[in-house]
This record gives sequence, structure tokens and C-alpha cells, in this order.
Amino acid sequence: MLTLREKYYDFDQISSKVFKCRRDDQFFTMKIVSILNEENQANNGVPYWIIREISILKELDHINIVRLIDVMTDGPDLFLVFEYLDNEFQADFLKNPKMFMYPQMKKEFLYQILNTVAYLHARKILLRDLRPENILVNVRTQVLKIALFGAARTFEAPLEAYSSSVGCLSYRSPEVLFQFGCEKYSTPNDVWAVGCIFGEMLLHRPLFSGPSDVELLDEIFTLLGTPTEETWPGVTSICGTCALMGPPQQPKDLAKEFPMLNPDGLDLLSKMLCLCPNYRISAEDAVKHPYFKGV
Amino acid sequence: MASRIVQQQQARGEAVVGGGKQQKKNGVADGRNRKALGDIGNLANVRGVVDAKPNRPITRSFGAQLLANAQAAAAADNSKRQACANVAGPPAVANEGVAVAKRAAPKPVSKKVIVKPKPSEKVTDIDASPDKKEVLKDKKKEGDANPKKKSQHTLTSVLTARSKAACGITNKPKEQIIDIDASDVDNELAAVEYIDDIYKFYKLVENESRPHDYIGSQPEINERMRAILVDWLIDVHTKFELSLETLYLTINIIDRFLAVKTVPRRELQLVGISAMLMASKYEEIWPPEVNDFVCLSDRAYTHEHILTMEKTILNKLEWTLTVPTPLVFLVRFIKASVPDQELDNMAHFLSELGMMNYATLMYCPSMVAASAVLAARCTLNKAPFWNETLKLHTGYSQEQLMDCARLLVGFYSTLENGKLRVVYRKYSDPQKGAVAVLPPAKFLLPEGSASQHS
Repeated sequence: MLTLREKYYDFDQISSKVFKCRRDDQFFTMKIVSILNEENQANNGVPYWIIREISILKELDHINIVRLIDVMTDGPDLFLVFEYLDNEFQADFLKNPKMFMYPQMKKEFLYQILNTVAYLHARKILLRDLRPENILVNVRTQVLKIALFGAARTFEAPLEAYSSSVGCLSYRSPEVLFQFGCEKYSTPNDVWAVGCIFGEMLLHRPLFSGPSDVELLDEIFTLLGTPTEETWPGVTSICGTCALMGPPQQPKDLAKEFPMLNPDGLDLLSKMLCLCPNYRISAEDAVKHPYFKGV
Repeated sequence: MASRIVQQQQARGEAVVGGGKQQKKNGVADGRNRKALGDIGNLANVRGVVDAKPNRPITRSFGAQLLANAQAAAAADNSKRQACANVAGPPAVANEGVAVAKRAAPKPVSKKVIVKPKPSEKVTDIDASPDKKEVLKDKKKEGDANPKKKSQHTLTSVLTARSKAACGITNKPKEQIIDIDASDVDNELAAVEYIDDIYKFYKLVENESRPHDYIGSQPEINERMRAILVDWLIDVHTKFELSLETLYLTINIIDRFLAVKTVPRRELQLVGISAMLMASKYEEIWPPEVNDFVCLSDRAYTHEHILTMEKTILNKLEWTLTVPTPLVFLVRFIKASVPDQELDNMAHFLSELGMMNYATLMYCPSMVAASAVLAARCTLNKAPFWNETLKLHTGYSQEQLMDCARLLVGFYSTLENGKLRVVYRKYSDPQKGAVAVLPPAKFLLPEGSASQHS
């Protein structure tokens, strides 16, 4: 069996634990994971998120999901070898307005994200931490790839209780923000994150960026209005305390907030950012939305 | 019994009803080569009926025999196509003593069967298509020209009716299929939009992660040792209050590992502990720590032993832990059974018994799950034992599940007197409905008689 150095060469450091390397004139990204803790002890062996990430990635075969090529072990370290992609979605696209010259490109990127999420949900996988930092782009082909499945997990239907302390705060859905510790949530959580990314693609800044759960909820309600029993049945029983709800607010007109969007786009955005998870559009239905006509 | 005149110069494969003139009168047109039973709705081009060229005149009994053979051949073809080990139940027996497979040959394009009404009745229009759900339309009866007129029975109609009865074609409406997800449409936790895709996908890939028969290639391990290990792990699982997913994944990991690596007897428990550690990391929010397992093993294995074995298993299994276990299917099939709590507990009990016994590895996960539901329904006498809804969601008929169901009930019947009693204790608890103390379905036991078929 070939060793790591025999298989891969020309290592080029990208970040502290990520390297670019080569094999047979092909480039790869190598991620190094140590199973040792701060005291250099392998307390609990392979971290749970690595077991999940590798196991889930090995089962997936989709053009918009980064491919796991190889897993190698060497002492206390694991080496995960992925296909190489040159651009980060957030750094190179979202924060650089010049890169988004065509509305069609935004539409195509959004379609690719939704298509991938629908594929994952149909395979019983929740992403749980979908955010621009976890999306890579091949600039040449304009194919977008979702990476980093550390927070992903398979789900049972009906869903069990899963940890709610997952995902970047800005992209967490209201149902997750309302709940503490281990609660039940499902596929709409990922759709909310896609809605936030869609808003960010349009505004070139995060749609919601509150530093804490309460402030983030306040930002959400400022834009979308405070939920009521009518708009979100059962909301008063799940929010725990009324303090989380804040003073009642009316929803803003999305057409004024997103003047660059046509009516179909506004309809899709509002359906993805629907406060009630039961009424939120599914990724499968979102892919079929009229907004994507011609994609 | 109407006698049939058989002409000496009859063309092979051609049935003649009555004499020349009468034949015309009864609707068999000139020049039309009406092969035996070839016009009957359920036998479009069945191999062995249309193609057969017998060297003897087709009498009624010979015709029935041809039909039986053709249906048996069609059923054999069908069962060959099954991906999993499908074991048919006892064949139904036709009048002539010829074994007839239960599943009929493919039907032709759907025909509307109009049931003639009595003057006071409404007309029921039944769509007899096998592919569509039954559509029942009530039509108001329009005035009959002569309501008192007796219906005339021609020889053709009598023979057709008899043939239909012999082939099991009746105008009895098909059983309704229940939409088991209807109540969950507004519940995002049920993931209703994806549920069909999910189970189609799992059915597709369930054989990829199935361990093959490995006991023969393990010099130091036998079925009994495996059963002791699983029995102990179920106890550990209960003490740690882990999820059922973790338990099923643990056993799947053990079996797949033992199928690819020879393990000495002294390391079998270590494999079990490491498998449960991995399964817990995959499934649980708060998995037990390695030290918990060290204590559990009475310090037979060290921290390092467990971590080394964990890495060995992961590498051998190529890190593939996203696999469909029987539990994945069981929760769906129980739902399709429209269960009460007792049925739910009984199906889980039988499934866990199956997991303990090496013999169930010959069946694919979905079949074990479906058989557990069937065996539970039989044990609790839930009639009918199998129905169209269950058939639709499991993909199996009752006959295909009988062998595996008998196996599960067989384990159940010997459990009380056996030494491995963890599952028995677990399901004797009133919290689990004390289903383990209920008597097993007698007719599913090896010496029992065959079950009723629905």
C-alpha cells in the first residue's frame, strides 16, 4: 500500500491544516485532521464529525458536491483528499460585486445550491451548516460545489431530537433559534439557509448578522414581521418566552428591499424565508419554481 | 356442465365451442384464431398458452393445466427478478390439483368492467386496471327498458364467467390503499416531500452494504458466540439509553467487519465495543466515551485497544457507515401497518430477535423488517395479516415473507427457555407492552399449518 508521500507530492500550504497537492498532473486539496486533543491524548478516537463527514461524502455522487477522493491514516492524523477547487464562493463572489455582473449567474448558482440540497434531502441527509464559506466554485466551468459536511447528519423520518447548536448563527432558521439544547428540526432548516444565501447574493452582505440569538431573531422579525399563531401555528408554545418575540412588527415590503428581483424571484425568496417551517417551500419544489425558467 | 364437441380436424391450439353454426352465433367470428383462453382479460400473451402447440385436443382439464403451467412460469420469472432472497409460500392449488402461482400474469390494457344493476341499484363503475388505484363512481340508474325481463345466459357468457372464476377474476372491488402520510402533510418533521425518494433510494442500495455469509470463514467464531455478543450489546445499549439507530448500526458494523476480517475469539467483544462506539458517534448527540466502554468490558481491553480497533474497522469498512439497516425500513413499514402501540412493540421485538440470530443475515434488511411486521400482525391476530397498503410500501407479498416470518417466530418460541434472555426481559417490561410474554403465532411455527393468505 502506497504511503502518503508516495501517492501525493508538490504540497502547497493553503491554510494551517489544508494543502494543495498533486498526483499524476492533477491537483487535489488535502485536509489534515488530528485525532489528538490539546493535551496530545487520543481521548475519544476519531471525532464524531469526521466519521459523519467521511461516511456521508462517500455515499454521495453529485456534480455540486465536492468529491472525497481518498482517506489515509498516518499515526494520530487523518488525511482527507478532495478534488481541488480554486475559488471560495464568499471571498471571491459574494464580497466582490464585480464578479456578479449577470443576474443569470446568480440564478444559476442559486439553482445549483437548491438542486444539491434537494438531492441531499432525498438521501436522508441534513446539511445543518450551509453557508457561503462552505461553498466552492470552479470559475472556469462556473460549477458550484458544497464542501465541509462536518455538521451534516442522516435523519430519521419522523425526525429525532438533534443538537440545535449547529450552523453559523447568521444562517440559522427561526425554529432553531427559538429552541435550546436538543430539539427537533428538519429539512426546512437547510432551505432557510439557502434563502439567506440568496439574499446575500443580491445584497453582497449577509442578510441577517445579529451577534446573538435574540438580536438575530429581532433582525429577522424586522424584515419578515413578528410571527403570530395565524402565520406560524404553535409558535407561542415553542418560543418559550415572549421576550424572544420582542414587540410586534409588521413585515417589510420585499420588493422595496430587493428592487433587483423580478416578481418570480420575490415569490421564491419569500417562500424560502417563510417563518413557519411547515409552510416553507421544500428544496424539491423550489427547484421547480418559475423563477428558474430558462436555467 | 355443458359438454364440448371436439372436432377431429381441429387446428392445434384452437378451442371450438359447439358445432359450426353455433360457433358463429356465440360470437367467435370466422377466420379468428381464438387460442385457448387467449381472449380472457388476464392472459394476454402468456408464455405457454399462446405459444403452446399441444399434440392433443384441448379439453377443459387440459386447458386448465396449460393455464396453470403458464401462470407458474410467469410467477417463476417474476420471483427471479427479485433482488433479495424472496421465498414463496405454499402454492395455491387449482381444481385439477395443478399448482398455481398466486401472482397472476400481467394484465393487458385496462378494461372497464360494468356491473349490470338491478332496477333499484346504482351502477358501480370499477376501473379494473392493476396499476391505478380503484376508482369508484356512482352513477344514477337510468330507466331500464324492460326491468322485469330475465337476463339471458348464452353459452359464451356462461363459459366466460366460469373461466373468470377459475382464474380468480371477480368483480369484487380492489382493497383501498391507505395514504399513510396524509396526516403528516403539515408536519415538517415527517419530511413527507422526500419520503418516497428516500425509501426508493434505500431499497436500491440496501444490498450494497449487506454482509455476506461469513461464519464459515471465521475459524474461532460461531453463530452462538455472535448471539451472545449481540445479547450483551443490547443490554449495554439499554443501560446507556442509546437510540435504536445506534443498536442496529452497531450490529451492521460488526457483521460487515467479520465478513472481511478474521477475528480471534478473544477480540470479538472488542469488535463489539468499538462498533458501538463508532455507531454512537455517528448517531448520538452525546455518545458514550471510550472510558465508559473500558469499564463495561471489566477492563479486559484498554483505551488503546479500543481506539486501535476503531481505526481498523473504519479502514476495513472504508468509512462506510451511511447504510440502510432493518430499522430504517421497520419504522416505515410499521407506519404502513397503521399500528397500535402493541403492534409497534411486537414488530420491534421480533426485529431485534432477528438481529440476534445469524440466520436472518440471508435476508435483506427490508425483508427482515417486513417479515417482522407480518409476524407481529399474525401473532397479534390482526386480520388481514397482509394488505395492499403493506404490499405497496414494503414491495413484498405475504408469500414472499413467510419463510423469514417463520424464522422470526421460531426464535420467539424458543426464547423463553433459552439462556440469552436480554431481549425477552426488555420486551417483558410493561413499558414495552409486555409483548414478549404473549404466545407466538402457532401456525407460523415450523410444525404449524400454513397461514391464511390475503
